[in-house]
Amino acid sequence: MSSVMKQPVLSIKKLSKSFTLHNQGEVSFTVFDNLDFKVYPGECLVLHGESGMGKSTLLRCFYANYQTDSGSMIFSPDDESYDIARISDRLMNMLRREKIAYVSQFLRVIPRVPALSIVMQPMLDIGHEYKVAKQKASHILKRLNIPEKLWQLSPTTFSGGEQQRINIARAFVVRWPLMLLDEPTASLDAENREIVLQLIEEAKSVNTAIIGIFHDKESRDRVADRVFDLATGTMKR
Amino acid sequence: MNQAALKDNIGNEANKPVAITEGPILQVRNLNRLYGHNKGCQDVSLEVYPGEVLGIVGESGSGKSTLIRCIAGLEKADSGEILYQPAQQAMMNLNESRETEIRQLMRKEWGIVHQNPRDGLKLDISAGANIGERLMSQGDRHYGNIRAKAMDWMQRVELDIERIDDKPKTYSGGMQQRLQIARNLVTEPRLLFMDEPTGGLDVSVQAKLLDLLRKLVRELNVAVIIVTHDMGVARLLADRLMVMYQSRVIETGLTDRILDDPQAPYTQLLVSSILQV
Repeated sequence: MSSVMKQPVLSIKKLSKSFTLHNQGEVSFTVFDNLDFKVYPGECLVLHGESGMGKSTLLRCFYANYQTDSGSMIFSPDDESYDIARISDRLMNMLRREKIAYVSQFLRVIPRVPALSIVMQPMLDIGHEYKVAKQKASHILKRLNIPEKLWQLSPTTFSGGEQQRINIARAFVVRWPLMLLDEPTASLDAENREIVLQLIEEAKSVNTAIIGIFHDKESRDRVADRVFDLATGTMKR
Repeated sequence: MNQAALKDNIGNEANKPVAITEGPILQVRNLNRLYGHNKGCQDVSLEVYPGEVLGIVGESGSGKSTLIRCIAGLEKADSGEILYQPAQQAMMNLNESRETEIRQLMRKEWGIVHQNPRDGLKLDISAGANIGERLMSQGDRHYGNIRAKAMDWMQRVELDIERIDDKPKTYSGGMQQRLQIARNLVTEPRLLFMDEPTGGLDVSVQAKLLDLLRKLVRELNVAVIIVTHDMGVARLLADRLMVMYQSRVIETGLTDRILDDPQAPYTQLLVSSILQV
């Protein structure tokens, strides 16, 4: 990858995050402090560090799901730039609909909504017709080996692996400037893990920037362009 | 790769900047309504945009119902400004508007869903007439039209149209609440106020009603201010939350941010009190 010509999609400066537990004796702890790095279109940056180092916390900050203490997160998906650390809630909601996807380890959905509708929603949100959304959603569900008889059921009753694949389908059904992936392959078998890795490679090839956490070394080595080490706060390669 | 080629590659769905064209539909500035020390609401400012769902959460007595009642014109504020952007005219300052203007607005562009359906329905006239009344107040006089619309809305809120001529007092609590929602939405309001809309209902009835509300709010693209003490309801319906405590707003933010990373001591307490199922 030649990062020379490209502008970063996300530029992190002096980013810090702590938690204060007001109702548990005002205990306060710092998760990370003064982080700096940039992420470029078409690359996959992997966050590395022991469990508890704050990898997931950092990813959640990029989605404004967690609030940072200080520093900036300049997101430049197009001609506009936004500082996710200071953005209005309304604008962040729009970025979530159109620009940034987040795949958590756990599926969090509205109960009673069928799997197919869940996967179609991101397409409908950006203005695609129902028919097109259904077509693309069906295609990706098939690709991820979700049996068709499950499509009209709510995924709340699905197995862990099936739920994760619904989560992945929902994110990869649309093309995004930035995707945040928190252990997307964790509870998948080898065959489905391979499909997810292919989806990641395809997204990279159309210039999606990806920031990910990968538990297994094999997946990490396969998709990572660079690795950021949270223990030292430096780029490893 | 140069910048132009890069842009092409990102593809049309990701390439255009996010569009923020519309201004807020409602702006509240420094609203005060106190009826005792820290009782009521004070120093509240907020904005609501078209199609957005704002949740106001907090324990009972925190002032959230007083706040929504003041904004909706059911109670008079001691001080503060309320600005509303109507569909076809210039921004209105509701403090300076005449009573008749506000009443007209409430009929035309606003809806209010009360916790107790008895406060929002006329129990002694038929269900169909309850829905039709809102249309008639807007000048619809064609009986056939009104009845057809009433039937359509009964179906949309999943009420049996066979019961269109029955009086709401013969309906169950959940059915009454559906009818109240139909009565409010039939005129396609731009701003909807809801005060604990699922408050008095059984859990299973509540779940179905929430599904329905979620669907309708999305379909109609109506702006909503919803007051609830139930964080589950807030999570399901609201885009953003305002947390109230002892008459003041202590925290605002995206719904999932408030629930996953609450900042204020009281918000942390509130969130930690949610039962994990």
